[in-house]
Amino acid sequence: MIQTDQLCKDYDGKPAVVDLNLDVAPGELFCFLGPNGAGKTTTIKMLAGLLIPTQGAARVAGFDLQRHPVEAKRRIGYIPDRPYLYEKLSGRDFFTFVGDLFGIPRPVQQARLEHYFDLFRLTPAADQFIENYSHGMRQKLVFAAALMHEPQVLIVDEPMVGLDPQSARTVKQVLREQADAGRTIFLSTHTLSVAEELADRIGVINKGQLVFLGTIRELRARLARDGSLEDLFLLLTEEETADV
Amino acid sequence: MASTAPVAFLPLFLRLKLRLANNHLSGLRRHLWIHLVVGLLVVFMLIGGGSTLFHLVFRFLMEQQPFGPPLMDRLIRMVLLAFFSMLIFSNLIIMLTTTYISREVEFLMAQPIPHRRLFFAKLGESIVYSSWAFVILAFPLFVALRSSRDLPWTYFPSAACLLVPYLIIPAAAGAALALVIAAFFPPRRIIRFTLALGVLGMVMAVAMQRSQGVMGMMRQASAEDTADLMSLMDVGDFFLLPSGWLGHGLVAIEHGFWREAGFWALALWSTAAMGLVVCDWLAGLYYRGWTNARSSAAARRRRRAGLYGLFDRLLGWMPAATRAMVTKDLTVFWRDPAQWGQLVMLFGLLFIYLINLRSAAGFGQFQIFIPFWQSIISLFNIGATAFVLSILTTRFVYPMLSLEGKQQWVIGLAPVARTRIVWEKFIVSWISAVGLTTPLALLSSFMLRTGPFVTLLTVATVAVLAIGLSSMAVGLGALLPNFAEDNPSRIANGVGGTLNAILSLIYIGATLALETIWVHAYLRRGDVGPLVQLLLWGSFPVWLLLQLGTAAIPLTLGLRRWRRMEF
Repeated sequence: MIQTDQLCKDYDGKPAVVDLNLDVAPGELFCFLGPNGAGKTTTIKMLAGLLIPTQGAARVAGFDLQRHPVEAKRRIGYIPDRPYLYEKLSGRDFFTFVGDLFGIPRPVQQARLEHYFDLFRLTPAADQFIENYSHGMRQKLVFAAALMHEPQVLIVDEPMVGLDPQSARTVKQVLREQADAGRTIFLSTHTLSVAEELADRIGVINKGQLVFLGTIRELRARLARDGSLEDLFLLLTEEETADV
Repeated sequence: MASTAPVAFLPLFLRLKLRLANNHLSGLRRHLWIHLVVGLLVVFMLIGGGSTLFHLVFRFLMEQQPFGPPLMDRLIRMVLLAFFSMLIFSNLIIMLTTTYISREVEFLMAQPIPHRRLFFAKLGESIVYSSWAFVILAFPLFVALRSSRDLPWTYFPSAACLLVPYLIIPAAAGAALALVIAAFFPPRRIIRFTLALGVLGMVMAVAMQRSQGVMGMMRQASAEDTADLMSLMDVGDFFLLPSGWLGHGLVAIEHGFWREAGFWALALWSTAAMGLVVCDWLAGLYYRGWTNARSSAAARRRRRAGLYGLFDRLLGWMPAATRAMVTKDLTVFWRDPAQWGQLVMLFGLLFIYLINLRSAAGFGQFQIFIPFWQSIISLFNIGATAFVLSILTTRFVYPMLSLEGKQQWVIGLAPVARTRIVWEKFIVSWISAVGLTTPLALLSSFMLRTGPFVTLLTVATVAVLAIGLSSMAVGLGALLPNFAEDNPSRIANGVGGTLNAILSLIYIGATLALETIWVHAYLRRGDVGPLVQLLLWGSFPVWLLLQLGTAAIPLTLGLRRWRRMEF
């Protein structure tokens, strides 16, 4: 469902992502991990069609992001790390606006609004202006809006920031349910416990290069070490830094 | 899954913007009366004052037969040409800002919206933003045109048929330029360059006008000089300029030559349509330019360190914490061209007015170098300078403390007295205000050749008003902060900003009213009646109290509030 083929991105000649080859299948919850500045957000933005790769290609649901951007985006739900929201719209207004952008009929929008707002406990605030929402409420609203058109692929960048424990659990449940329903989840996070709990497979990127791709069990085998994902991740990235 | 049928984005976008505007207004309803009063006052002053001024000029020209009326036509075409140039610049900057830099576009780019449609939606937005400013500036001109030539009310709707394409053409030109240039250069650099070009253009226009001795020609009575002047002004009539077509079309409407008016309307509408076709053809560059802007933003982060370091070195004499805050404020201000661009434009216009004082006076055969007019015009110039300064303190100084609200996790927890930040804002504002206004005050006195008393009065008043206006803006900024907003212009448009604007005007007006008494006594060499004598003696303590009160009270109240502020 998500394929990258020798995907590269340079900023002023300095490589941010180098020869990234990924193949994420339908129904897979893939966690993309890496230290700060490793290239995670750059990769995600190329997958969302917000950056043009310097080389290579990215395809979502079979559509190349550069050649068929509209078709690809119709199948993507994107949740950025710092989402832009219209402060002077209510949660309901914003949800409706996104629904209209995706061509969802109004009765369907209404049903989904009730479902997702109820799920994320946003119903009491549905008609308040977004400027009055807390950070956590904004995150949940963005989630609801991204799921509304039932995307085949969900691309999520740092979803847990600012969420209370209840909301964080809801988000994890929703992500797992979406993956079980056959959707592809591409999740970037620093919260390794979440990755450990949810991921079917992980990819670790460091200094623009993919240094590991596989399951957590395979990572343990490679490093010949048991332990939490955090331990393994730190060992892996320190090892890679030492090699450099 | 989402529908596979294409979605009509433009109506959706329009509906979104209308909903945002409505929601914004509903938030203002509680304090709508303040906004209405200030808005009506400004509109009345602009339209009423502007129309009167234009009317006087037009009437004067109409009476100067036989050259007056053709001179007037040329003058109008020159004004329309100036507006046209300004519209291209402003549309270029608006397009770059709203289409390449805004965060809204990052959200919209991730949605299934064809890039071309997104671009045209933003183009429509740019036309609206640039048009309303044009309407406010040009409306007095058209009102005066109608009144001075006794035209029927149908003149306005007829003129509107020509004005609509006249507004679309520079928008399309600005958009096309933005598309081409932004595909290769970072948008912020283009904005800085455009603003610098605009300022250079203004300076060159003034210099050219002076070198050609335009005003000198206008003072001459001979037909030869008038013919020279008219040939100079024919630049507004260049056959390829839409502003010239508009000018001809307006003249045709005025005389009832509908066929000819139709021709010029067709020229304008077809050019507007062609402009949009060119934009459509170039719209393929939009996505490339937009992603370039994202990429260059990431790369630029390394190079930016230089500017902060420069200010830091220049302010090395300050205590560390104060230096840090001032350096931060200056760096942030400089990196946002939308901020200082407005400052440059406002003070630039004032500078151009002052530098043309002698010439403009000569054109009206106005003897300004007599004490009476020197004094009156000096007072007017103090008022104009202070008014522009009050716009700047409302727009930039008042929001400063509100913008610091979100930084309290850094500044609030630093080992620095809370009130230090308020004092820092006041000192930066005051020094900037004095630095901007004192040279203008000196220029005014120089151009008017005023004596020592009026010169001292002008410069001292402007310096004192700078303190009062800065204190008011900072004090009210501390008393009525708005921590929810990130956007300085939205903060300035709120209750506190509006209140600051009104109080600033009252303060400036009261100061000038008191000083008018002194000027009156000066002109009469002290030979005044008992009532004026009483007013004169009373005005000194009142003036002093006004200045001390304005400087001290808002700041004191603001400091007290800031000390107890919760974030």
